[in-house]
Amino acid sequence: MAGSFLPAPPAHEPPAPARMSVAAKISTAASGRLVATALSWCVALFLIAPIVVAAAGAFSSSEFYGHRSEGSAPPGSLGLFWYVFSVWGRSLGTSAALVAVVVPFALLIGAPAAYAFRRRPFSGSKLLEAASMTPLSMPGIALAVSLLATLGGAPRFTLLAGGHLAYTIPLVIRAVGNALESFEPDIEPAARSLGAGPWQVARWITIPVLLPSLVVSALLVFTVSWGEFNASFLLASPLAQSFPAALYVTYTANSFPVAAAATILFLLPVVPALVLIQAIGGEPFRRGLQA
Amino acid sequence: MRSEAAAVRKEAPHGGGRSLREPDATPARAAEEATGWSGALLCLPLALTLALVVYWPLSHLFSTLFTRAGSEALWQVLSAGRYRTSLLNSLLLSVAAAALSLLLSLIPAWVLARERFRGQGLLRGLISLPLTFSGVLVGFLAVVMLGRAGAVPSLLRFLTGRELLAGSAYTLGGLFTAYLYFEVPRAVMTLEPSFRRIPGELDAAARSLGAVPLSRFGRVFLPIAAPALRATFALAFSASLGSFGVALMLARRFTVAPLEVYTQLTGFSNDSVAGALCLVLAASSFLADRLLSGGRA
Amino acid sequence: MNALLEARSLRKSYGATVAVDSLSHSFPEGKITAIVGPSGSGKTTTLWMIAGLTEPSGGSVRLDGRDITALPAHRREIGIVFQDYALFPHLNVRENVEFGLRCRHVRRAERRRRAAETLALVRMEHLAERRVQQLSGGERQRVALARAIAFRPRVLLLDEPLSSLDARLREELRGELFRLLRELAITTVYVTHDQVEAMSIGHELAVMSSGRIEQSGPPAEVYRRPENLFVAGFLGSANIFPADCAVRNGRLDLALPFAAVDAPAGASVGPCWAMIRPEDLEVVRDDGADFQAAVESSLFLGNQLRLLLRAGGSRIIVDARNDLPLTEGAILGIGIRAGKVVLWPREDAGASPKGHERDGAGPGPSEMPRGSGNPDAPAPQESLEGARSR
Repeated sequence: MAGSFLPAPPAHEPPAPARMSVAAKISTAASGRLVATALSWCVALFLIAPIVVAAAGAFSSSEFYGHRSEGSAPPGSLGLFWYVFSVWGRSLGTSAALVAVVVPFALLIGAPAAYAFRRRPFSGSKLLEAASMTPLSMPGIALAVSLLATLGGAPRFTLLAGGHLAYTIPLVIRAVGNALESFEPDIEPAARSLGAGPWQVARWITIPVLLPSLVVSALLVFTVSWGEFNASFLLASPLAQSFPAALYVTYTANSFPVAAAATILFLLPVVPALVLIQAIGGEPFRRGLQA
Repeated sequence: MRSEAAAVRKEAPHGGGRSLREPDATPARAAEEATGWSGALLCLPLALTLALVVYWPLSHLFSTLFTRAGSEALWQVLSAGRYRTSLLNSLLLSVAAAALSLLLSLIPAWVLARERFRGQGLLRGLISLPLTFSGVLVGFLAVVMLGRAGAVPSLLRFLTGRELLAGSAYTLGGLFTAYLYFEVPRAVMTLEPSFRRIPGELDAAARSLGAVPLSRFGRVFLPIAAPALRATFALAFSASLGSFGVALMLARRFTVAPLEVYTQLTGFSNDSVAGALCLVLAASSFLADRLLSGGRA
Repeated sequence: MNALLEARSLRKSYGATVAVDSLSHSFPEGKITAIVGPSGSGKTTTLWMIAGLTEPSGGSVRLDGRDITALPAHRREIGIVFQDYALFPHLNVRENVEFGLRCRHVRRAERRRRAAETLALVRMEHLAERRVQQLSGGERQRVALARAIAFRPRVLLLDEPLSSLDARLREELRGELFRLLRELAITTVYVTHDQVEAMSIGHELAVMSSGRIEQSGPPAEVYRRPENLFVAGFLGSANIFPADCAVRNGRLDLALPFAAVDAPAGASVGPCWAMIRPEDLEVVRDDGADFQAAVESSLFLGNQLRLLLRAGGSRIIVDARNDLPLTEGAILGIGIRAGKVVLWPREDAGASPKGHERDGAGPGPSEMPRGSGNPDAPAPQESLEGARSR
């Protein structure tokens, strides 16, 4: 710097710009992330709070939850659940039977198709794949109404299963398809070069590697089929009523604790399934649920 | 300047497992596989099921449009007061709900995709739980929270001594909130993988080129995320448009299309109107999907 | 255990695109043949056709005199190491290596023994129980190799086994791999785009381009006597100039753009392309020089100095010793080592040798050394395309 001929520098020198902006950047980035995370938890809270409140209703006798109708067991007791079960047990059974049919069929239909789309494409396979995905973006009632209009003579259970298949097969295709994309396609030629015939390749290589995604698909199909209401309600008959349809009846009856108990019964199989899905493969789940 | 985003975008490596492979191998294999027919065999059950359960019924429904009863019904649906109102209600509500849920889901999706922190799994689990709820359950929850004796009005009454929001579940606003409830999880779960796939280097590259945060957001992030955002909007829109259970629970003082379908079908056996309404709904969903989803991220 | 492998007129086309064009080659028994060529030249496709993983559009593959073209891959007894290794992710190292034996219904005890043997061969026996995901690149490569040889195949195919590794690792593993392959003495086909690898590993070298083999033979032979511009430019570096052979004063003279020298033996009169490798040009004292050239720049490569010179309007690359004293712009005397000029006939007689600046129709030398350390060097055939003498 020059000598004493220059005026003295001002008393308060502003901090060097470079240093400040770096510090400022770091702090805003960190605080920005903190705010974002906090906001996300708020969203989660918004989503969870109603469930907690509703579930608590099954166990509380507080007036806070409105009246309960005559003849139902006191809230918070096991008797309440038993009551729900005794009145709507049949629909529970129907839902269970539906799931037992829909899950294996969805897997058997969807998984080989996903394999074909990714590993053995043929002319028109892209179109078929897109066609199998469209039910996901279609309103459920449209599907149900069209089923009713064309195949109305078929047994209701079959129609229900068909409707559920329309929604769940795309999920399987997506989940298995994503899994197929994520591992090297060369492992099947590798197996062949090592001496594995077609069945051996499938048995020892393809299926074991795909197993997590198959399990996740099964769980996905289970949760969707179990909870499906739109089509199920329209297609329901006194003999074939799914549990979500029964839920609706409890909701419109005048007893909140009963409704809450039924809801808990409904959620009981679903929550473990979701936990399992997250545990086995978060990514296939997220991708499979992209609808 | 678009050049900024374009330049940065060009640098993005291919996503997925294998990046710079020898081009020799991959096109060869892909082309090879396209000539076999074993794939078609594997898809046979799928094709049959789809035809039987989805496309034949749908086309049959569509063909009724060409009958006298059908075209009359369509005309009625699009012009007469009650049906038209229900359609408009549905469409407008769905658009608004889709937009807002998209906005609300941006930050959680970003946080889940790009950040790493304890309890992330829990956050993801909590947000994705409502995905499995059927519409009627969501309606029920809305009543629990915002019904006449709902938790929120009760809390507000307790805090402020005034009647606020009681019975709001049964208003358009209540339905709107219910739509949000099951759209936000879907939106977050759809956006998360897309956000995850955006390479981190893009942001660093933009910073090195001198872009400030807002500009980076607008010029780099948004254009790249745009396809995913559009697809998510279409998804949320379709979900609420077709959601029947919620409408059944909450639409007491007004009507929305899915509810109208139900009442016409079961109450009045008015198959043709119900069918026409369904077709309009299906067409709207389909259009939204096609228009917005060209090019999923 | 070794077999004579033969490809006859192998063809593979996808619609209008021809990936492999009537490729014929005999792979000597028990020897390593290296196939080298740029990306997209059809090397991997050829390998896959030999292995039976891709059906040829035409031609046949013969093993031991038998036509195996119709034989499915899993019966061919051909082992292949894939470019990305393709290790089975759900099996550990040992199970991966045992897989070929399992397919052949070898009993468990025997299987284990042989797998352990093979793993010891590649020095991976201590990682036998490791999961594949936990292995490093070099370890995966060794497992892939062990897996391919555990069932004692008659032919071993390697598809760019070292190209997924970083340069350092590649150098380290190359020597080990080569030693092992020679020890095994299986008929081996080694495909790579790295010409240094190709030249050093094989007993025989085949240069591929656009689906056909341009030239094959012992590596030294192919290097010293390339049959066309492409091969010359692909292996190592090459200075290539348009030149003219004419009779002057009763002798056959080679007129280069910057010098006139005696034509090599057996040259024919007429326009031609002349190739001289950088190592065959020497910096000499002016009185012994064939021509003078000005130094444009130089690259220090460690073991040598690569000079970029200019003379007669042409760019010339010369490799000199690494301690040559140099000033930019200096004029050096350059000598051409005897018998090291390679000529090919040239169709375009319009380009005159004197003062002929490279106008895009002729090839230019690539400056960066095309060694394994520099995979990004532009493939010279890009500029040679218009000038291929075929």
